[in-house]
Amino acid sequence: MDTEQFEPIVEMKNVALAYGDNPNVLKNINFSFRRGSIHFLTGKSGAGKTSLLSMLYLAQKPTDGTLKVFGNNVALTDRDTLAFLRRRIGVVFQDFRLLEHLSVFDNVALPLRIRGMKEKEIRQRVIELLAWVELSHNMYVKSSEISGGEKQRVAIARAVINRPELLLADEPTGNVDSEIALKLMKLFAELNRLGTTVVIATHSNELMRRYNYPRLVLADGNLSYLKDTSES
Amino acid sequence: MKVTEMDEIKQAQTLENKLAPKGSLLRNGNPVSKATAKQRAARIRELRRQKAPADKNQELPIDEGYSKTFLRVTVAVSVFLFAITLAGVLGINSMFENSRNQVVSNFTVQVLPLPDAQDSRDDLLKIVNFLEKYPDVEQVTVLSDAELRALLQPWLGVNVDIEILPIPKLLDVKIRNGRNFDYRELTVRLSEISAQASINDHNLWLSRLLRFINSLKLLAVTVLVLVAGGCVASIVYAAKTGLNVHRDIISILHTMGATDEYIAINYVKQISQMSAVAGIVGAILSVPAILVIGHMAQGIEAGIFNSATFGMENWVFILLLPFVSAALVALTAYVTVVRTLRHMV
Repeated sequence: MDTEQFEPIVEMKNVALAYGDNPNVLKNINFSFRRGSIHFLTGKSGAGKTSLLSMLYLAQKPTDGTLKVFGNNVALTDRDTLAFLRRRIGVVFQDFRLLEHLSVFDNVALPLRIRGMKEKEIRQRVIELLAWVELSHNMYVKSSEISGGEKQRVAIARAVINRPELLLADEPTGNVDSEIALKLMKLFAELNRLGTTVVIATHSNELMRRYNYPRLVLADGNLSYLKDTSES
Repeated sequence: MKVTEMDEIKQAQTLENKLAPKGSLLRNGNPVSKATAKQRAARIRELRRQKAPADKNQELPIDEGYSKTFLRVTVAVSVFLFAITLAGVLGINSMFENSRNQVVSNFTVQVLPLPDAQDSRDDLLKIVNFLEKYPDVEQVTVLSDAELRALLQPWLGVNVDIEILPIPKLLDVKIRNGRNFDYRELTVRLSEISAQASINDHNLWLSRLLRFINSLKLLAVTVLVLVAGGCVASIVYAAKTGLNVHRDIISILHTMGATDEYIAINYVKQISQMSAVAGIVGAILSVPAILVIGHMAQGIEAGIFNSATFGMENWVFILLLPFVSAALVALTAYVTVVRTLRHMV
């Protein structure tokens, strides 16, 4: 039996985060993300959603408490191992964070190149995914030259091309119109159905009402769990 | 195994169905028909056949403009100075070696005349016989009066009869294994044969020349170290500046799972290619400069100094410099990038 399947993909025990000597942005957070789960992460602006996500994609270590990702205690994990753990995580940033000097193709190919995949295989996979997100006409165009909606699709293609085990999306619908937002949410739902653990940070009540996923609410640095929208 | 068109349509449908079983997520939930999948498969096939643009950008770019130009000029100038200095050192070295090889293979014996001419002739014959039998002596030649006259002509003029002057006789002695020849022992043995003979073995002025050449070499090495140090400092500065400018890109690469080594190699590939090209330019520019300096040195009428040679093996050293400099740049950039990244989150 695969025991990994039953282990939480992310485990937080008394996690706190502070920037420098400032007061804690996140306080005493205790929560575990089960493999294959999907959650909304919500809270007012400045509540610490982005900070929590940045810890989950291993850009920061907690200043206190224990954070385990894929069973590894982040505080005790060396730099290179952290890099390899990050390869199992897909991130969609609110501001896309594409490499503007690279083409759409190279942006999507980036996680595969980092993994050291052969160029022939990369080409095959990227072309397929770009055709699917309807960006093949702009494949060799610099990502600085495409529209916001297209950038969003590139960012998503880049996040999912590796088939991540954990997908983190920070306000993924914040910069796109409602039609694209709906498409993106459907995509996340389907990826989750295929086994990816998904965390979507949003402050859109409409989105949360429409998709009745469990919610994690951040307020004053504290995290609380609401099973569905009826609890709000 | 050959992938058929049917396989590709199936593959496209599978992808659609995996990610969007109830319809394409990016098509407002409309179901994917076989026709759409077929069309998409054809498009994918066509895209795969297309060649990717050759000018692939690097993930961590070195910005065009001041920084890149500064690096190119620094490397080109460094290689140019390096080549000139190295050529100077190699030239001086060859001059010394040529001079020494020429000088140590022979020495001169001076025999002062005795009051009686016959005694002088007997004494000379005795010395020649002794030297001819001496170990490692190859040939003993007594300089003729004509040769002596030619040697003295610059000082005494053309109208002097050397027969009436008490001019010493000179013996030119050629030896084998000149570098290990024991002049001290020969001097002692020769003094036992004749009190009139003395040896001029060139060792004194050769050692003075060697000291001078060693000083020049030390100076050249100092120049080379300074040039290399300047080049290394420029690379460190450029790499650190580049990393600071591209903090955002580095952060994205880290988020995607790139290791520090991956980022460093990406940077090093570009900088070493760029410095190899700049180095080749520097080396090419140094060739006419070396030829001109060599030509000017040939023109100096200084006897021994004319014997400097610049052989093919020395040119190989000069032409290898761009690649050596590219390797130095690559190593410096790699260490700098990895060290700097370790201090970034």
